[in-house]
Amino acid sequence: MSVPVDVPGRGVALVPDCLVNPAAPRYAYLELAPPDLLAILGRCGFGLLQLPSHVAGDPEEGQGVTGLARDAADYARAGFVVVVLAVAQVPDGAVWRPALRRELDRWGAAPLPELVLDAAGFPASAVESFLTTQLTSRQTVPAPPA
Amino acid sequence: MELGPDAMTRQVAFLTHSLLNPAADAGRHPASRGPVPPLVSTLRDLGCELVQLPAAEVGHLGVRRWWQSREMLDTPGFRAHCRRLAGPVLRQVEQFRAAGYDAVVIGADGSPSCGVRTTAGEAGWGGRPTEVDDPVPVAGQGVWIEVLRAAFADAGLTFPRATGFDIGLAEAEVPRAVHELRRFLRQSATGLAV
Repeated sequence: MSVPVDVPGRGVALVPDCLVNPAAPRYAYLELAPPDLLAILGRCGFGLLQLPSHVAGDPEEGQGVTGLARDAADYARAGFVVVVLAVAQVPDGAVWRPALRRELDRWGAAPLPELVLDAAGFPASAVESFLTTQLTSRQTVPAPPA
Repeated sequence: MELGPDAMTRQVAFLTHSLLNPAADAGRHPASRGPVPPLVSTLRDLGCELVQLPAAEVGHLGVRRWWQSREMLDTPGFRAHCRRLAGPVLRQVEQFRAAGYDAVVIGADGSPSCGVRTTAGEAGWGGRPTEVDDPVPVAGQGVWIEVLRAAFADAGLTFPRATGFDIGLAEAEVPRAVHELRRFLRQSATGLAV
């Protein structure tokens, strides 16, 4: 799938650590074989918000779900498209769903569009299509009257 | 965190936030739309794992903030905010080290918060917004990096070897920056000084 060249970079994606670092030894059991997700995000004009590793046992490791959800709510309020990419074979999609939803709700953010991906492999086009559809649908929302 | 038993020779790069999310950049580099390609591909080529550091400026001032200079961010409030962010980062770095990883930090050079080798020095900025030129890069580190480094020192820990990558480089300058980065990473992994 070709990505429209005029899509501006107005999106951010919450992505599990296992899709950012699929070759890490801690994810060997998942036998991950994803396409280069960071390259896809770049082509589609999306920045990355990297979620803590689902094997960490601590949603507040590193950036922490609490801080990321607060930032995600701020991006949404500022007009950015904010999405979640999750993994089907991992509990809670590897995106700490209960904690993420609770924190987003706390900051008044609407539930985020989520694409659930197959850990064994998925076509880049599926992610590109999802991301560009989200951007396009956001851009067709009419501007409020002056 | 269980990092895996065969991690002895691996390397992990802690990247300042905007290198993977230019949306956090307050529009300083409008051409950047996603993770910085030459940086990411270089790290991936060398088998480096990536960890994104918290967006200190976004968490403190928000996505819609104006451009900042180092002087504007160098406040007790921002430093306290950075200090809070530093704790989980220290623990994460130590977990990777305990599993045998070589941890490095890569900052966004020229950034008032995340610069490692250069930062944005504009002592005259502040007050009523006006049209401004790009901030002048000056030698030194950004406030978030400085606080993070101090947090390691206070905990008696060695700060990871660090370098910077400038998102705003002209295309012709990128190959040299990539070459420097490769050299830095290889030397980090083998324990040699740069």
